[in-house]
Amino acid sequence: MLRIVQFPLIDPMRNTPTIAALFLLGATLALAQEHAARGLVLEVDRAHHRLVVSCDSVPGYMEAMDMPFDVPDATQLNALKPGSVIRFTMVEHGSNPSAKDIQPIANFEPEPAAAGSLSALNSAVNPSSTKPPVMIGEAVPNFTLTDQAGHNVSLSQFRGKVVALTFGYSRCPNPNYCFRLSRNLAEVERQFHDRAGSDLVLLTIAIDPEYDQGPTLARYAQSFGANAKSWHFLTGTVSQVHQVAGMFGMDFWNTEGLLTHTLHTVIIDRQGRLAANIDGNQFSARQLGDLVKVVMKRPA
Amino acid sequence: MSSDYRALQLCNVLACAVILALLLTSIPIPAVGQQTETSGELHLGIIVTRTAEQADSVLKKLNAGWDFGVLAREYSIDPSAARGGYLGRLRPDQLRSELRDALNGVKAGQFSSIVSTSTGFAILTVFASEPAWLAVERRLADSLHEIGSVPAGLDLSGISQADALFRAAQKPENWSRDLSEICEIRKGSYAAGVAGLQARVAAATKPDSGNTRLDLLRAQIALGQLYTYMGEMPQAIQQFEAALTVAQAGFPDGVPILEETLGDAWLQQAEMENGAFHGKGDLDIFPPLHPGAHFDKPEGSQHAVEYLSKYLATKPDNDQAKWLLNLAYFTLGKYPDGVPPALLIPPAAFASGQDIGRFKDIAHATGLDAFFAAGGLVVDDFENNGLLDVVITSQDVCEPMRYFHNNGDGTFSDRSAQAGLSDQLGGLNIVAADYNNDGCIDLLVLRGGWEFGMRKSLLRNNCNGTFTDVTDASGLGRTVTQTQSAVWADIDNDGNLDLFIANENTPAQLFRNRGDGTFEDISHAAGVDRSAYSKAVAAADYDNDGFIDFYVSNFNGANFLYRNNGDRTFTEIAAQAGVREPLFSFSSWFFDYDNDGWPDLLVTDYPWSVDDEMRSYLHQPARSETMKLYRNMHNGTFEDVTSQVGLDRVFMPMGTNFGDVDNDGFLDIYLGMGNPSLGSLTPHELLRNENGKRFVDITASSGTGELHKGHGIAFADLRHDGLLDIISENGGAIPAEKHVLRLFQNPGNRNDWTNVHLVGIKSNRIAIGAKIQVTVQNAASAPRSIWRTVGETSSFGGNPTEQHIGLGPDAKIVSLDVFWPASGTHQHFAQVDKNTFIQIKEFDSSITKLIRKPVRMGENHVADRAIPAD
Repeated sequence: MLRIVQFPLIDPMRNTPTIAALFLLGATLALAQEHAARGLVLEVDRAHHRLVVSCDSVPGYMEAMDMPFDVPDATQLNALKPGSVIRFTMVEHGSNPSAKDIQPIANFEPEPAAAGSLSALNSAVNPSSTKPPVMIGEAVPNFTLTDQAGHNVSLSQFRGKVVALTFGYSRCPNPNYCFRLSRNLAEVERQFHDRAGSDLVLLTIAIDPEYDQGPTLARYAQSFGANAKSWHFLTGTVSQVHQVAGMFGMDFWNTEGLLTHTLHTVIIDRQGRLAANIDGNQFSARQLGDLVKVVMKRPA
Repeated sequence: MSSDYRALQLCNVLACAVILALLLTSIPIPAVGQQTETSGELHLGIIVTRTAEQADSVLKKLNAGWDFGVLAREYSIDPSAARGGYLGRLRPDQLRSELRDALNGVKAGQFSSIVSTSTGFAILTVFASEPAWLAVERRLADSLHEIGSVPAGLDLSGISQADALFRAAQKPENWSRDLSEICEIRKGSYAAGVAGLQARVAAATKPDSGNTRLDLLRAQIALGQLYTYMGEMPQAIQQFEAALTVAQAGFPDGVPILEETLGDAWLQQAEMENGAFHGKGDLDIFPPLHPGAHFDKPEGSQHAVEYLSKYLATKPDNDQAKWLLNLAYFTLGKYPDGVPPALLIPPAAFASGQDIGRFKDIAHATGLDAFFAAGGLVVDDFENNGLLDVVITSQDVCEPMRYFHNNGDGTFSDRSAQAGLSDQLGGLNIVAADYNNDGCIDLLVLRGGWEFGMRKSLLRNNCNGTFTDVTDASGLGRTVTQTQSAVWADIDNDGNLDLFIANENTPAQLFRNRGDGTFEDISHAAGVDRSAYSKAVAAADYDNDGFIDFYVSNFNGANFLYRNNGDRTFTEIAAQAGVREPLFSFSSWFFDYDNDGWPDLLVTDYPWSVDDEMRSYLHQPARSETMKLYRNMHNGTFEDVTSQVGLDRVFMPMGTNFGDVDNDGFLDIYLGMGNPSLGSLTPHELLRNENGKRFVDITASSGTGELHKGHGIAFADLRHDGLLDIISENGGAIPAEKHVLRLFQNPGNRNDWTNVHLVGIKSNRIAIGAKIQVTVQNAASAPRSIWRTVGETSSFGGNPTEQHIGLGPDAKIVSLDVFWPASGTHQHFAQVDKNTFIQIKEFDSSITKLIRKPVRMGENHVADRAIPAD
């Protein structure tokens, strides 16, 4: 858990405004400017106290973009990982902006909140049943499921390619959850269209696998315009899907005819290691694309 | 989902080309769904039968006005049958010569003569435009997201948590067949969950416990939910308040939802400590019956106001929270005047268009004092003494069903133990029928709906006030499924009632009654074994062909209409008949709402959005679906008349039913509302059927707007005074929301009535499927017919089998006709006395008058009130 450290309003070492800041803000201001900001963490460099964030736009100040930040209080980096969604204070003062008051954002919409409480219940009642999820940098164990074309698909066959995966089910009624996460993959596919299939693979794993099979699964894939060469919609037995979901901390429960589930979007690097695991839906397709780009740029 | 439906959806370029190749000279570009008009192209349809005689019979039906798509679906052997015979848009010159010739001169809406082809005998048609049902199909296939794109809202019930614990618990073999074991698993898993979370919260509260603050927050919310489940609100509130403190320190995004949760939790606490679930002071009926009345202990409601106001300061668009704030003020006696104007949902939104008088709850005075969770209800004469008894079940797996014997003096006695029903625990629904034709009505308890598979119970009425569980001996115990709906109907007119069971995510089951007390599973052979999350099944001979058909409504998917082929097989024709919606369907029923002699179909939907229900009251656009009323078109199809009759409003109905409360001859509707969440508190709705033309909201004027969750509902003349009272089994899905049953006494009116009790001889004994036509003349107006079919009742409610029929003012019964299902017998009686109870036996040439003594119930009174002019 983060400790929230109160920093002085102005860092005395860095109180000279940059030319850019002067241009943006007018010459009347000589103090560092602070902006409430939020974004998706792309890289965490603990050695150099730095963070790269794909930021949301700050109205009246900047467009959405990815930016590096100094983090003077390095303890604030402790809990951060690529894929963390954060709220922070952006301090613009000199050539290097810095970040402070970093807080991870957890999703408290009704369904994710319910899923969070069910996860807590699971681990409280049966702590041994829940295997800890794969950590960043660890190899993701191989798994084999069946795709919308009826072919067996194994994670290992994508070694050398970057994999972006999420979860969903065709009867999911809320467009902000499963639908949005797979839409994000569709946007990423568009962004990297030339390399999709050859260098980047997308996976949507069905968490209602008894229903999402055969033509139903194919139709689900089709509704996102998925090309079966680059984007596999995967199904299997309930226990197979539970096992794969468990690797990424993805939980789901049958409730009242629908599923209550957590939300995860995962990136796996060319070596088959976990590169990022984004919890929730509080990020944009562009930010996911930025994260995929960072992982794709890593040496093969 | 049906394989035919898949075939339809997958009818892409290749597949369609294969289908058409047999008929065409060249492979065209499939025209289905294309918008551009190409010259000479026609919307073509085809039916191919194996024999010339079949083709002849189809052509006769077509010429008699039957729908082409429905007949194609049922009779055509061409692959296009799956699409109602629709071939797409084609130029005649693309057809093979014999078909092209046959089509010569055929105009839109006309049919070709019968043509002999290589595969059989064909009839072609030209549609004026693409069949309308295709557009619905495309919508169903493509936009589940859009139709269902409604925020579910906060779920404060603990039901997900309690069910997750139940599923995760260790269970002995065959637990699902052992009702007391299920109760023990529920209790044990719940206690373990509470203990585990208490330990987790305690540990996580300590510094350096290794748990993150988010872990603590989530554990506190989970524990608060579990306390809520049992209605331990002070403990629940304590957890939610602690969670709010954690959120305020580190998770600002979590603050609003916790404020909303605390608002709902405090309102629940206020209701519990002020007796609202026992109906005290009618402070759970809305609009208020006694303006200014308020809870004795105001603190809980005050806290609710405080938290909901805070929440609304940051989230002003949440109409559910706004509504609950209005309700909190209502319990303080401050609705509407004390509600801040910006947050007021005004009484005008609930105003009634008409007034048939105020109903009064007399349940307590009659001894119908069950305090139950969600459950089923059946009202019928189980003892053949002319008195209607009341049976209820509860979803609570530890709660035994209750049997209320009618004492005949205005009171009921609980005879559950004497009847041998004390060990029948749980059951979200119950259906009744005399399955063994011994003249005594039996019961079938359905369990596991929304939850997990549990045994059903077939309870044979021993005709001596006791019941015997014959589930296993009958063969119905072989499978354990998750179900809340079943219907009894004689599918083959052999005089024995067969049984259709709709299941949740496992194939539907059709059991043929062998007539010896046992059943044969013919689901697969009959073609009804589709899997869906089915919430209802209803039966009627919708096409008046002498064979009973079934309608299955599904939650999260299209619905099924099974047309009886007359040979114990069925054809699924919902698409062609135009009855596949809503997508989130729930209870449903057949009834003849417009008295034209043809069964119409009402299908409720269950959108889980108090927000949208409120927006609907305020005449603001809502995103949710609405229920559907489908009017029978007499040609195998239905017309969607929902908006025409004013039912295009968003409600969240669960238990439902219908009956003629004002004796005008037209069937009115009562809807019980809610979902498991505590915040889902919206008034039940009483909707008056005005001449089969429209439904008018009379909830406010009738005083029937119970706010708590409504399940099994029945309309019954309990007092033998020719008036239907409304019995409503109330209570939510969780123990915290147990509620008293309500018996709303009909205020009375001046209209006439008759009450018909049918006894089958060759047809099944309680005459399910028998149709009654009462032709009546009101004063000097032209005679009209009123139609009722025995056994038609809501899938989630149990009206008695006797038929109470309102006749309108100054009525004279010109004739009374009965049409019997198994024998095909038609009885005609002229000049029948009105305002009496009568019995008619199949084949008898005379009517028997029944002696029924009027009974005073509660503080009985029959008001002399005029019905509003139609």
